Amino acid sequence: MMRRNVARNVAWTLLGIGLWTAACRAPLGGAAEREADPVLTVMAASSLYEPFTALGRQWRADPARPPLRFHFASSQHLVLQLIQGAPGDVLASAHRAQVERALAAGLADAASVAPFAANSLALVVHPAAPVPVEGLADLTRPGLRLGWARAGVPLNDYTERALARWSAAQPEAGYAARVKANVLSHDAHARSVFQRLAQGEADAAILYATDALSAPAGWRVIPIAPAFNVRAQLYAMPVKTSARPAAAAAFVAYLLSAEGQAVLRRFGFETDGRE
Amino acid sequence: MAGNNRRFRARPPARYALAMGLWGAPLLLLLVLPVAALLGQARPDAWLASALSPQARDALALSLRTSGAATLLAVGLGTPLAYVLAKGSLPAVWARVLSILVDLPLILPPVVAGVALLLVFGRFGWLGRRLYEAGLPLAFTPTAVVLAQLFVASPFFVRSAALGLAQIDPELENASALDGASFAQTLIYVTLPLTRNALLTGSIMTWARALGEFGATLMFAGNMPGLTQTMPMVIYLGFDLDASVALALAGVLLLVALAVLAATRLIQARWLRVM
Repeated sequence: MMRRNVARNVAWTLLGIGLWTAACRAPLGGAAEREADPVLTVMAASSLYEPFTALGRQWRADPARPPLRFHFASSQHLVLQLIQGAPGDVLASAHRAQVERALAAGLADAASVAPFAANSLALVVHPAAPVPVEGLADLTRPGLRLGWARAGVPLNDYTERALARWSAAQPEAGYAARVKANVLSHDAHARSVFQRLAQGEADAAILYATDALSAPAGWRVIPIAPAFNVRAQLYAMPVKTSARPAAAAAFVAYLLSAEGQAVLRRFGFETDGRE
Repeated sequence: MAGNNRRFRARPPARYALAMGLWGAPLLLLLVLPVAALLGQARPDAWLASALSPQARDALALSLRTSGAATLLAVGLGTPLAYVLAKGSLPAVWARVLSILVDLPLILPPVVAGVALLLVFGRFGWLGRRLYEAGLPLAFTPTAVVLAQLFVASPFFVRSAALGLAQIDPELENASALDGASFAQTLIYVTLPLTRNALLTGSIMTWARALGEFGATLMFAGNMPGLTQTMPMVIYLGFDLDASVALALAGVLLLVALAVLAATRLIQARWLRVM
């Protein structure tokens, strides 16, 4: 009797261990498959959403190229995700500081960082804005609700720099503080600031000039003079931990090719005078 | 009563208990390891310094105020609703519809709740349009934080209250009525005191859920430090800016969650003993 119980306990335990091993093999097998996964993952700044989606269509038109998937977020978040082990093959960043952070973390080689396009800023105003906005001076008007990128995100840094330049040229002090008093929400990346405006929750926002191009009819796009504007350089690089280094390098080369550059120009990016 | 039954309940043989335990161990590990890792990160002095930083303090104060308000509203508005659910003697179909509506936020992804709230209270929403015209914008204000929390957390209170009310022996209320008490007197002196533990447990759960609310708040109230930036938002959006503050606040929320569950279990244990 006693022995049968022991035997049964052992049998139960073995069955449990066996089934668990079987269950655990599934995800382990998945990890092994991931290395063989032919899909190239491009981690891109949210401001690249439209040109990269179009580029991806052209890329896929050639069946010899590996399949492609995009992951869009703020440049800052992309680097953080890569540091935490996200499986990205190419990083396309909208800010030099985030490139430095990626290099410091050993995610890429400095020699492989390719500046591939540049952007600038524009002031965009929703038709429902309750007060007239003709330029940067009007951003301090009481009652205006401003879209804003949160600190650390490239758009936030570029916006702050443009405002600092404008502010320095103004006779009265406190301009920047009064602009910030109108901020509605500190949002995650350039695209989410655009969306706050699209929902009509924000009245105006400083956006990338390229995002301003996709503004719906009725929105006003007010250019920011070169003296106050900034040059937002975009950089692409193959990620060193990639399991598909050749494909990653091919995508960066494609970005720099005449075809890739033409698509970027079509969406308003500057491609001449690369750094 | 549960304690008496337990004595006579057949206990599973040891080998089954062992097999079940082994079977469930991976799940338990999955639940315990992250909690342990979060607590293991903790250096109490560093925690305190981070949790007292201005950003964390603002978020903490806002979270306490909004979740407190959401809980009070859930209790004030949810108790009558729970009464109707438990004792309203509604036609079965209506009772079922009402209970589904009340429970819906438990299942609905909070981000969906946020979008839906914007469609009602946003600037161009059903009610929002009128509110804006009246000069009472709701979205992106602390009130919006409270509404988002109330939406997501109220089912915890209503369910618990309805359950408590349904368990009261009608004979007690009948006896009170027979002794000449009015409906209101029976409600105040008999029904609600007997439901006290269920109401308390429900409020604590609702408060904890409101404190942790993130998705709906981010969509509907935005992320504005001091105004709508709650603790979970500092944890999510702040993780890449200042990880120490994010970790400290994550630890605070974890301790709150543990304390809340311990408190509700204590209350329930006392409740069972009393009955």
